[in-house]
Amino acid sequence: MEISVISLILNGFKTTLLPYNLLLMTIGMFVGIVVGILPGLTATMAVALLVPITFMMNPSSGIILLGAIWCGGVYGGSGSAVLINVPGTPSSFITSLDGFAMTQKGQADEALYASLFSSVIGGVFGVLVLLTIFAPLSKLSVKMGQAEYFWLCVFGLTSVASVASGNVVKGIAGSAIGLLLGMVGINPITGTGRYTFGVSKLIQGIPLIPTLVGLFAFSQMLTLVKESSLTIAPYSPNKNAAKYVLTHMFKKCKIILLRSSIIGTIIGILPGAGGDIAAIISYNEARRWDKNPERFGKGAIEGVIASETANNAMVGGACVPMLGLGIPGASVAAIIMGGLLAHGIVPGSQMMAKSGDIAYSFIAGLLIANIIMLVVGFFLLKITTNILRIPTYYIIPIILLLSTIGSFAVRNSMLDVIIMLVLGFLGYLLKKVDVPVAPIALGLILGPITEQALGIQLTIAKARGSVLKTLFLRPVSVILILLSIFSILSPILTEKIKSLKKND
Amino acid sequence: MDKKTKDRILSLFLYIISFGFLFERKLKYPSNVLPYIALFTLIGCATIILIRTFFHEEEARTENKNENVAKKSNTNRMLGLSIGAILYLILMQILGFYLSSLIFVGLSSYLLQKDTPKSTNKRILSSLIASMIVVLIVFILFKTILKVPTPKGLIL
Repeated sequence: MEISVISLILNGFKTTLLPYNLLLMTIGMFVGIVVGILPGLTATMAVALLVPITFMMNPSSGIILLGAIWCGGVYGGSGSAVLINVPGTPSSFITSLDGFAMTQKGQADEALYASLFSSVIGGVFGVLVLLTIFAPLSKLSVKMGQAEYFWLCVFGLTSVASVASGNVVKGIAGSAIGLLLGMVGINPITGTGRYTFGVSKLIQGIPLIPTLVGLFAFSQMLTLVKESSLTIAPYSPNKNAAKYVLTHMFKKCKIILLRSSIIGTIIGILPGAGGDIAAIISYNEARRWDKNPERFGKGAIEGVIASETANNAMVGGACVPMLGLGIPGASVAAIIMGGLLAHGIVPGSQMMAKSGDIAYSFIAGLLIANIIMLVVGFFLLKITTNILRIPTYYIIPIILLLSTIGSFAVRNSMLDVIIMLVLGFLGYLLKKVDVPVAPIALGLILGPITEQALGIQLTIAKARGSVLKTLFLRPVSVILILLSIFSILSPILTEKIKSLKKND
Repeated sequence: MDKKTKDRILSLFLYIISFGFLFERKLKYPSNVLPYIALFTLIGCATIILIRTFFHEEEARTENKNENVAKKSNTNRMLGLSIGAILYLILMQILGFYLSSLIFVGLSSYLLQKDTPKSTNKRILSSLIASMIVVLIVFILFKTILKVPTPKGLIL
């Protein structure tokens, strides 16, 4: 590393550690976590709302504050995912699979600590990668073509086989429904409307946040009413939970932590692929390499660790192309980039030369923010667990009220609230017939990216005259195709082997 | 309802969705590739689920036993909340978000407390206080601090 870069890094830490900036980061972290916890309000929204406030500050302080909100928002989503099965942010919906199952088993403290510690570890890892090798890595990210994106999405979609353990067909059906929902509205290739069924407002498409809120929050409230339980889940504080989780993580989950951190950072580096995809792939890999993969989805702490490590590691990764190339790797990165531009700082190849001090203040800020997250998150964790003490007859209407705001706030549209309710009913009914709702969300998230990548690649193939060469016979594509086939076949084969063993 | 019947209804539902999308609009190459992949995958899944109901009798019986162990159902409460949610949505367009939320939170928490040993007066009082506190907090947090837009009605 060059001496000038080292001095920039040291100056970055010096700026970040100023008491004023530390205070800003603590406030930003608190706001980010609280917004992240609220269903429908995402880290993107929190950062977007607070960008104008940073105009009153110097650029370094402003961008440090935005970075802290981002980190807090990504982590905050896991709180509601674990406690009430409502993913606060899209990237935390995978966390809810095992996190809420742990809460139902009376292990809410363990799930929350696992989420906090793995978020910090993943976050720190991602920022360390950003700090050391962001320039060479950002050059690599542009080598991912549309064909590779398409197969990456297919790989993500095939992971439904693991999400829908024991019922692969219904899992695939769920992801196909999600893909179809994602196709409602404007066709990304031709620019024309489709699948609106005569409802003109559907031309804007099915929005992600109301869908997630409906599928996870509203359907869960219907389940709670039907179960007629007094509280969401039994809860008794476990004083040794933090110690147990830390010991478990460092004794048995070192590989998961490392693998998920790497996956999260790499996915973050790829422009357009966010924390949700990072969490899905990381969760799938944790499950695949586990000795008892059937535990996943039923309250395995490793599921929470894999998902949370990856979606927080994504933050550092997403900054690599944003700072190095001026290409935001995630929606929040795009807003932060807008904030930088408003301050007269142009991210990209010239940033190191012209505003290296601000770039490294931001990176150092992200690192410190992750450490602050440990303190603020620890403090808020004690408060948030009290949700489990509130009777369901209060919780249910409150969640429905918050779901309404969350769904409406995205586009100021009542149609989104209706979509939330309809998909909530649909999610509830599908759960009743053993169709998991997570693959529907997965299909909706990956659908537009998949379709765009496939459309572009097929158009290129038409001009070149070979679909095989353009789409299939590329080195990275071949690897991703093999991984997808393995992903779909492994649970089927595992079940077959198990049934054969049982018969023996 | 046993698992077999549920799966048959599910496959019928999947067929309806698939054919609904299939005949809604004809698309041209290359924009039709992914929709067709998704649609034929869904039709395939529906067919497999349907065929399974005729051959996997043993599996269906096992799941039925598990279902019997499941928690006691309360369909009326669930239907009540569903209707309440729809009415809340309609009311919101007349009274606005905050007023309709006050009514919805108060009424639904009162009705959901029906099975608790609390007296009627206590239930009314606690629901009233809860709804007022919740709406006040939501108003301060979303309207004043975060400035998040909420649905507006004809009156408010």
